[in-house]
Amino acid sequence: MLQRIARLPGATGAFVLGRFDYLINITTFVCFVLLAWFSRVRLFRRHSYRPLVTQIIFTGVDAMPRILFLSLLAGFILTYRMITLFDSVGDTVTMLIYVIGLELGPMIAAVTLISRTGSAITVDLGNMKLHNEIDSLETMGVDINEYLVAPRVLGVAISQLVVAVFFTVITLVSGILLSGLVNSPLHFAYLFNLTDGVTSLMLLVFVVKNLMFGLTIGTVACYHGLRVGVSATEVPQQTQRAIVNILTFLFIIDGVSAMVLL
Amino acid sequence: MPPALLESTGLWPCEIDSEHAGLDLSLQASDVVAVAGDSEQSVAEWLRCLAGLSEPCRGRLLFSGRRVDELDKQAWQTLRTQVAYLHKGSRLMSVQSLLNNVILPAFYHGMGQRDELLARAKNMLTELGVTDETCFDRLPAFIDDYSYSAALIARVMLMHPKVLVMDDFLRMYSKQQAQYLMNCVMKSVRQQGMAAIIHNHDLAPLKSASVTALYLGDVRWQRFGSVEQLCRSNDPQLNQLLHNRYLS
Repeated sequence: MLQRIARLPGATGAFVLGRFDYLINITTFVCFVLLAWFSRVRLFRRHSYRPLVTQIIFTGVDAMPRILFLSLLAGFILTYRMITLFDSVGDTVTMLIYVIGLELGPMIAAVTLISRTGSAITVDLGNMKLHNEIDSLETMGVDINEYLVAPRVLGVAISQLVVAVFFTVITLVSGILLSGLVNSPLHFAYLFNLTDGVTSLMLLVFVVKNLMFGLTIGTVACYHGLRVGVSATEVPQQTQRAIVNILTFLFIIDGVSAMVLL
Repeated sequence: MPPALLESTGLWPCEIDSEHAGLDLSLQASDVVAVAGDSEQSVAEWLRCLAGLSEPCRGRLLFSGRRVDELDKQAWQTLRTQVAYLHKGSRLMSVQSLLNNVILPAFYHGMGQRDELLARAKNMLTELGVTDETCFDRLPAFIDDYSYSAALIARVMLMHPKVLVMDDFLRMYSKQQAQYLMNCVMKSVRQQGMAAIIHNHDLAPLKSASVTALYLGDVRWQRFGSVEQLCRSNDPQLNQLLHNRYLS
């Protein structure tokens, strides 16, 4: 027992240093990826355009039916309830923007993308690494950061922003419409008051937050996929680590963005 | 006189520990060298070194007069299109169709329009004996092993490399299939004026007057005028190696 207590400070220190090391590795990785993309690629360079568009279609466009369903549910359940609740407090529109627009919308969009795309990217790259497909590409001069990683990272970032906008708008509009139909026709006015309630700072935070969410999902998923070694058992292990670390980073970014708006 | 396509001076791979003098080799267009070695692993280390993929611990390596260790990232990527490396572990991308896999590196390096590359890839696969055109659009998991190997060869040949390094690539195939693929490779090498370094478990397809031989061992290397000379060597250790690994 005493030995365990004695080892605690060392273990804590090792854990903290390990986390810092991980953060530095991830940051360096994303810098190299973005450098590889922007250093030689013109905006519509052929070979990198196709994987980027493919990623946006897979991550964003293909996710729309599910996002539509989730946003309608969220609108009917949450927005409708929140209007009823906030009406008694006052300033309903601002509360809706903060809760749905700036918190719930980005987070649910991100969680959907993590479950669909984040895990898929890690498994995809992990299997490529495992089966020497990446090594074969590198021997032919294909820059993996530019061809495989950057389209995924940027594609997920763009998709996250688009999906979050889509989710937020549908959630707000559907909830307000339901509230107007069920509670009071006066609630329809909230549809027009929403645009007045959005400030430039809110808009900026929304855009930056979603882009950061998307960059984080893409980067961490790719990083862990490329860390797979020689054993097939490492693929699910790295996938699990990727998802846990992505969620951790997302909540940290969410907290930082909340402090900006205080 | 143009610089040699591949030139090594005192070259020795880092993974093989030896004090022996390093390899001196100079290859011009259409030079073909057959390689034999003590073990698969040591030959693989030698060939990766000669292909410019592993850093040697001694000596230097030049391709068309340029030192490999002095190339920047862009130049190194260009070099990879000029020095093709095929080995047992080479793999196609599992998420791309056969044809897209073949054109992928050439398309990446901007060596032609997509349609033009697709047409050339189809021709090349047909010449390599892939007669079933329905497999062109299939994923690699759904095609036979022969077509898979042919696609790997076509993928590197489409870039018109100047040097080809092949490490026992055809081990898995029947004698007839391996012979056919080797003949196609040699034909491309001659037509395109490439230099080639080929390690094959069966030396018979390489027994030609125009093919020189190289023994790359763990402690020494030795050059022979032809594969026949290598096979008739007086060295008992070499004879045993050839008997056990290459001529059985």
